[in-house]
Amino acid sequence: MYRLNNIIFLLTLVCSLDVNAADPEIDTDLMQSIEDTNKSLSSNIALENDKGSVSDAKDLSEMFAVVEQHFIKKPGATDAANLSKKSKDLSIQIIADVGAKKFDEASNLATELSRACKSCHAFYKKD
Amino acid sequence: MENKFRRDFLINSGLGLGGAALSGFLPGLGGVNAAFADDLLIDPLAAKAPHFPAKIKSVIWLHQNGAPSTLDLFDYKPDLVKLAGTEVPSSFLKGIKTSTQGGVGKLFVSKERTWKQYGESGAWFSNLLPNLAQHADKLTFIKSSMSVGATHDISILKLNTGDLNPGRPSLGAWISYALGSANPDLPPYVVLYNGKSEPRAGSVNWNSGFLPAVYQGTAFRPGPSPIYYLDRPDLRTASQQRSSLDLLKKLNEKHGDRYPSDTELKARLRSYELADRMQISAPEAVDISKESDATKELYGLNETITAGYGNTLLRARRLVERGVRFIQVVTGEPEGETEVTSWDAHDSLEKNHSTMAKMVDKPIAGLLADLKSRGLLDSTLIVWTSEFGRTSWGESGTGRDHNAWGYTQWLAGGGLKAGFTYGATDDIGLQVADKDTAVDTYDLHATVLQLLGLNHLKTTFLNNGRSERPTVVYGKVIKDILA
Repeated sequence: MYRLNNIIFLLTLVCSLDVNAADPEIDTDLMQSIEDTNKSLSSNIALENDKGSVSDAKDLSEMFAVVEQHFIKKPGATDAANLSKKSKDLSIQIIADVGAKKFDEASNLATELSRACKSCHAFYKKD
Repeated sequence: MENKFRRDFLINSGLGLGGAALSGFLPGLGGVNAAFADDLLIDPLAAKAPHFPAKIKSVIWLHQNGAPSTLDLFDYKPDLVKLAGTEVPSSFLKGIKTSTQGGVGKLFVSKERTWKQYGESGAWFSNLLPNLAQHADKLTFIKSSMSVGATHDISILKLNTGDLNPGRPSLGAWISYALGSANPDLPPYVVLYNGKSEPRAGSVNWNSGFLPAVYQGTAFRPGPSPIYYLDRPDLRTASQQRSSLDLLKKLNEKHGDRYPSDTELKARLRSYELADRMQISAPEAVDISKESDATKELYGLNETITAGYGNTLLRARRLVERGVRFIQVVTGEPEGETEVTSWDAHDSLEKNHSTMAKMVDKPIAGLLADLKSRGLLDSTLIVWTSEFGRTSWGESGTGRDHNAWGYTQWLAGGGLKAGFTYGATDDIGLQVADKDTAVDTYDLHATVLQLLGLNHLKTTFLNNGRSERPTVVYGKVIKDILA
């Protein structure tokens, strides 16, 4: 029994180390979700679909908050932290603009948001 | 049910595939304008109003296939000359991934290269472009161009469609869709090339993607008959052909009424009629026999190396005169050349670029002069563009590798600040110096559309329930270069 407990403890430790190494908070799934939601947001704004736009922008603001926190903790990633904060703020501003039926303004902000994503990827591409 | 009622039903109900396809036709995707949609069903190429007054009527998109080294043409870098033969200082490599095929070699400058400033603008030109240099004050340089540097085919696709994967419409297709045709006897979007074969990667670079097929580009091949099988066979009279086309049209229309969302069928129907008219209009449009000797000389038609490309650009001017909206001209190999087939100089850059530059220099200068003298330059936009540039370091000792981090493109024509330079690369010409001024493909597309009177954010098409636009989710008009 003692031996079994040791094995379980070690397995748990290995798993937890592996999860930490992979950093589950910001992985390719999250980035893919951001990309998909961003495309959806752009479409919904163009279609003047306020409900869909607000829902997408809200999801984006939450996802960018996760990204921002990740980069705040990461040493030497000030640019990425700033760009993810900018993206989060833009998402929040889009919610306000869509609420006020300012779809043209929202469309410009959504484009700015896409550019911020692109800039961030230019800084932090995998070697 | 009469055809009109069927169409009205589909348009007004907005239901089903027909309704979905129709609503996709509407730029801006506002409320369904039944009359407009009805017109589009009858003639999807009917002329449409822009979003705001246009500065230009036509675009000549000069794709320099193979990616020239703009460091050897326009982007003079004294520091690169000084540092030639040394390793690239690490500070210049920050932020870029240098896994290009040739690796990072020593900084390279050709011994044959000399530089001079031209015009009141003082723009720099190398010794490779003596004729174009005379038009320095007509040009608007974008020296902070960047893209995604993959293989040529992938980056060319991005240059033309805004995406790295096939499936999105090319810029010319978006323009045809948004503005329709200004000449019912010619396609609004024509692709020209010199040399023996179609451009690399082919028609995916002028296709209509998810837009209706009628908006794709039509490739005009070199020679007197620009389109395959366009000529009426000798054994068939014009009236026999007309009767046969009338019957075909009747049968196709009958079938088409049953499938109103079949845009391929509509495109085919229209193309038969267009082809009939084009048997006369297309050969006439590209027939340069009546051009004066002086004009032919201007485009370099009297010299072997410039004749093919010059002929292509003269055709482009004739198409502009006939109202063609978007003319995509792709450089091929110079006449009689077997070794140099594009600008892709991984080695022997001097031989490659002196040959390619000679092929394009005089014809492009001729085009600018000719458009200006005919009063067409103000209503035309010329875009000198490429999929990417080339590295500051050498490859194979005598060439340069691909560089998508910073290169030069230029525009000329209506609505622009002429004799103006926007943006810059760093001191060795490797990366865009100020990232805030970086001009990606989407920004170039947005600016071209703006000059045509189109807001890229409102040039939209409904595809599978999603509103799509030419600039995907990006695009920023380069306002600093607009007059």
